[in-house]
Amino acid sequence: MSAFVRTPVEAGASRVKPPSGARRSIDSRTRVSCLLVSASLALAGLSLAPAARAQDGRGEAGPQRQPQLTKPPKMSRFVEAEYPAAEKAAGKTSSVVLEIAIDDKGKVQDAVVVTSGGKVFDDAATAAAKQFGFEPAEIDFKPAPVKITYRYDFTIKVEKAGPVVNFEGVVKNRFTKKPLAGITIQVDALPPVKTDDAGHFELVGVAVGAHKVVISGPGLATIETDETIEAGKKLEVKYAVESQEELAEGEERPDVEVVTVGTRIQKQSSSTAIDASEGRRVAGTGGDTLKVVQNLPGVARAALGSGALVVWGAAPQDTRVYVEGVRVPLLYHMGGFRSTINSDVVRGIELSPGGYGAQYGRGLGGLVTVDLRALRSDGVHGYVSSDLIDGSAMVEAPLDGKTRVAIAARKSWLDRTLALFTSKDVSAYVPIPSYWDGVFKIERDLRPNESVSFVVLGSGDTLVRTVPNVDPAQVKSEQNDLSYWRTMLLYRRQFEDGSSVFLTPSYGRDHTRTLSRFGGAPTDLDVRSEDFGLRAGHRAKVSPLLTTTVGLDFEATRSDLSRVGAVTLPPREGDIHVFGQPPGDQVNADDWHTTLGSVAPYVQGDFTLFGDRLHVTAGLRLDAFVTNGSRVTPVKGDTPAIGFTHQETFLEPRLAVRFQASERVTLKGAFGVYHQSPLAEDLSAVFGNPNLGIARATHLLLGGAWKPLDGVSVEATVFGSKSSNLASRSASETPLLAQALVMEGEGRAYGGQILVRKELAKGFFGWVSYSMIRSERLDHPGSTWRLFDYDQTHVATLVGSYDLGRGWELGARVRYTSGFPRTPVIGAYFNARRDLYEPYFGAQNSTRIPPFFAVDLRLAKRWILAAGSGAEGQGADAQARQPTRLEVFLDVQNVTNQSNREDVVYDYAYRTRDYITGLPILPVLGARLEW
Amino acid sequence: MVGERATSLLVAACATVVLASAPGCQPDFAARASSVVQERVLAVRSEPAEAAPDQAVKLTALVVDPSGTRKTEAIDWAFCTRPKPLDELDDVSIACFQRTADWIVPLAVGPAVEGKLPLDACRQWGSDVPEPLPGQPAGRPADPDSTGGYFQPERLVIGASGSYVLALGQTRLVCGLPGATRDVLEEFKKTYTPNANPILADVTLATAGGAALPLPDVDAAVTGEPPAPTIVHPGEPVSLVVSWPACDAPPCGGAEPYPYYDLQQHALVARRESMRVSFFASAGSFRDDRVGRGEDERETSVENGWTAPASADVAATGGLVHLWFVLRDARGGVTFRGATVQVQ
Repeated sequence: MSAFVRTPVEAGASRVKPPSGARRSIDSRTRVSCLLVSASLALAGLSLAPAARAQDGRGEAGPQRQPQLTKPPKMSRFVEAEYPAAEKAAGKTSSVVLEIAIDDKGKVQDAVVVTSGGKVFDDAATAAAKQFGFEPAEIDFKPAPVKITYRYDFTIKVEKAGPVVNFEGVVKNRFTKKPLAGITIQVDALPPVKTDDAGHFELVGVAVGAHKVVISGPGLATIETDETIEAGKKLEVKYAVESQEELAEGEERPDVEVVTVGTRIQKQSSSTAIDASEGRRVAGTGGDTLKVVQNLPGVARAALGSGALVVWGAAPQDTRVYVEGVRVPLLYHMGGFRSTINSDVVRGIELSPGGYGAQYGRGLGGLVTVDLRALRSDGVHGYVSSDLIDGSAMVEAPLDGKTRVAIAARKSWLDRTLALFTSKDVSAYVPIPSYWDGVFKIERDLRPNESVSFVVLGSGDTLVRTVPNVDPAQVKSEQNDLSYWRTMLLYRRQFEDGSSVFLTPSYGRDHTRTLSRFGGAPTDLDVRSEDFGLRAGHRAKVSPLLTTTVGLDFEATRSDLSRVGAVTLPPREGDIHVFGQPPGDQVNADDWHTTLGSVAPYVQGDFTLFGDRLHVTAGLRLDAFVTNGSRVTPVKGDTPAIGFTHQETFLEPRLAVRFQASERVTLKGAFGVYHQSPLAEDLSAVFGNPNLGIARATHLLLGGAWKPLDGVSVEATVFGSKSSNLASRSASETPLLAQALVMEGEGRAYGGQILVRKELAKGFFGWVSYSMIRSERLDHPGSTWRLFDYDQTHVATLVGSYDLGRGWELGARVRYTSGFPRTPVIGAYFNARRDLYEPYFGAQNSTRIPPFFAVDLRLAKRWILAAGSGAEGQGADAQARQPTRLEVFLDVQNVTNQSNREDVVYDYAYRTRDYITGLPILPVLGARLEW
Repeated sequence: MVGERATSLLVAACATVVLASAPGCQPDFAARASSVVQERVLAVRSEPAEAAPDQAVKLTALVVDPSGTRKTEAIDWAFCTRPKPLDELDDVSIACFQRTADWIVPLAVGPAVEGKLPLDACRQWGSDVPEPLPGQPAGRPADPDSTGGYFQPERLVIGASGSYVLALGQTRLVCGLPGATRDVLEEFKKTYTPNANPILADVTLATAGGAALPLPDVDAAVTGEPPAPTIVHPGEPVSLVVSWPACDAPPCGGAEPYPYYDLQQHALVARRESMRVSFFASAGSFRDDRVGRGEDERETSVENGWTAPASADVAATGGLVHLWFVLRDARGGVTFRGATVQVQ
């Protein structure tokens, strides 16, 4: 009804247009408009308040100087008057002239009728005017109260029949908020339009249905997004992009990343999406976008030296990570220093702690999806970056008009830089991993709205350390190798009717080796896997109320495994032990092969009801699991091995509901059933159980989101999850053959989380999150529920980053978490054969490590070393060339030098208890050069 | 052993601000395994060191306190027959330390006892398949230690209500090989010699620039006066050398060679015992708590440093300091010796 419109997706980002020329048709029938006679708020209609005059009189001798209006008030908030119903029905129109008093803060103090338009119109206009907001006027360059005259017209206009504008929007610079002119908007095969000086664009008569929108222009890498036009409605959007517009001297362009906000489709009911450019600025992440996941609500702080991702109380291996729909085995390198995927090829990362849709499965816990960004076609770009931990570089370039390529690589050198500051022997006590990762991507546009990409991801970690000792029984050595490769082909096509298809075949290899020796007791676990995957889907709007997605998700992993060592090493979740406790010296060995596969067709329907206020997303996934192994019993003499194959099929319903209760309030809920194959490592006839079946989990969540202010959102979620058929160690004193593990475990997690988030505006973004989660396990029927080893009941995080101007940026992160549960040692006995004490324990996980608290800061300064060229018409090479920039940053972790306790340790006889403390203040200096 | 050298390295590491390391900093505990400040069990010896089920063994414990070896300690000995569940990480279930239970087979009370190993020891603790429970399939045999051994546990309890000293002794069992072929099993039986306890051939003490003096075994003196203690000066660093005989073929008192059944290759592999010496003292401090020789080392002795205590620290005992040396081989054999030095 109003000429002052809001974007439908992002209510908080409503834009107020200049009062003049604000009319725009939004309804095909009738329209009520308000005309502002004094819309420009020209001086002709303005009178200075007496108070303002008095303020300016300073009692100086001589003739008084008349105060000068140096800045008129500017309307910042318009409220539409309610058209009196009876008058509207009778077709009556009117105008009311008001005098509005505005104080020096820009607030309306009073509004009085100067020229009446009739009482009911006067009342409506006065009520609306009192809610206006202004930027204060200035008299002699100081804010001052003023009065203005204002005319409010009540008119009824009948719209012309025929095609109307049903898709319009505005394109702005994401950081400066300035509108971008000359940006091309192309919707499917319709003639492209360009944005005007106000960044505005509009299209007439766009067909109802889903459409692919391509945004391109000088200094802008082409980006694509999907929009849906509904019958009888106009879609209004806001695109905030990061452009490479020419900058004033001393002004820094924040980033080259291109992101869309406001129109992004919310894929999951409970998820937090972080754009790459924001994530890079979070303190404590070392500029690594993907590490920001560790700071999102519902995620426990990883133990020191661990990159484990514990989401909503689920085991780390239960949360799955996908890159463009292809599973990768780990998100972070050993020690959690870096992610295994270069941030500069990432468009965004989304964490769904639970209740996600039918496209994904095979995991009992959360879901992390990483989207790769489109490559740039406007010349050769790249970066080189280095800090104390590692160095990385990337180059991307167009090969021709349709093909683009990028390659990125990273190599750690912390293991070497450490040697500069410490003696060589120190590294023997400190697990410093050596890692690398790389990305290769080539993408080609086949036809309009059709593209294919080939991506190779690779990552490798090695950790070697030896603790020498004059006693051979005390010599400790450890070597961990972990690497993976993924190759994937990404085919995407969008049809003219708005439907789309995608196809992603993938192949990969994983290798994990854990080799350790404590005295004479070896542990060697070697797992080599081949991973095959295929993802395909079709999305279409089959009716105005229903959008469907039909797809297939196939995944298979063939593994060759070899293991030597103690059954109890490495410890499993639920094993009662203390840090530093020597492992048992009883050993065994096994070699086996497994193939774990699953084919999962799925269908998902998104029902749009009550005028887009209610979304019901119902999905069904049929997951057929196949578990194959080479040996069902341990080796015995010359007896040939007997293999096994299990097949289980499950129907997994998924349901998500989102209800737009008001313009600023959204309610949501979700439910889902999930299944997960056993780990290949657990299918050993010696160390595990070849007959382990499929574990099951259900998720239920309820929540709501409120946007109290533009760019500020508050989101609260409560959830519960239950899991069953979990593998746990046999508690029997006489375990059966090939049943070292049994499928008797159960889990439950429940809690809530709240996230208050300020989106990037005026150089600032940040969030505060708090999660209260309780996660428990029942190892065997009849036993008692205990705290999960990774339970962190309270997790609070504050993250903020502010652009100080002139290239300076300051970020901070504050974290508080509960300590992990631990089992107290209540005594010890002397094991005379091994010449060591062995502890005995109290109630499992009945104590905790003290809470963790840390403040991290990040200070960055950017310089433009060579200005870019943003001019058009200078040839393709010269178009929108990005300036060469240098960034130097200092990431200081634990600035307060808090002595955080990370784990409990005991003396040799378990008589005295103390703690391992975490990192002291840790400054990491780095630099990044990009062009 | 995390000796002083290692501890100082850790401290140095943690003091370095740029130590961008994962594990943080470990505390430095004052207590050291080599310091005898209260009553402790230092070793439990089975004679023979390796025996078959139903075979008689003699069990002896070395129990000490700061005043010396407690030769007449009332130790409550018992065999434990209750296997350990796989979800417990210790060598035995804590249930083995109950005074009485169905799975506790009492032996006797005293400083040393004799008894027969349980007949079903190899089923409970060894490579034999455990007796299946009614209606259940076969159970899972125990896993051998890293030398291929299986052990019958003995629990030792010293003291009455309120204050216990608990210790676990283990006698190596003569059992079969898990999953081996008949040929391998026969070869193993032909070539394997049950382990023998090592022999502590000599212990010498040398001051800086001085000659090495033998330290007599004070606990071996059954009758008569114990040998006169060796004299050292307060705070004086000395060198202690513990040696054992060379061994080319078993049985012998040194590092014995033995065939080991490799569970991965399913074949016999020739190995040799590693040897380790644990040092204990009622006062003063050792450089290392334990010193040993690996499987590949053919030396038959180890050296350790010991710094004599200050006079004030041993005034209560008239300057007398007790030392103990426990020699273990990798397969569970053990021997020990006590000595005294006079700090003056």
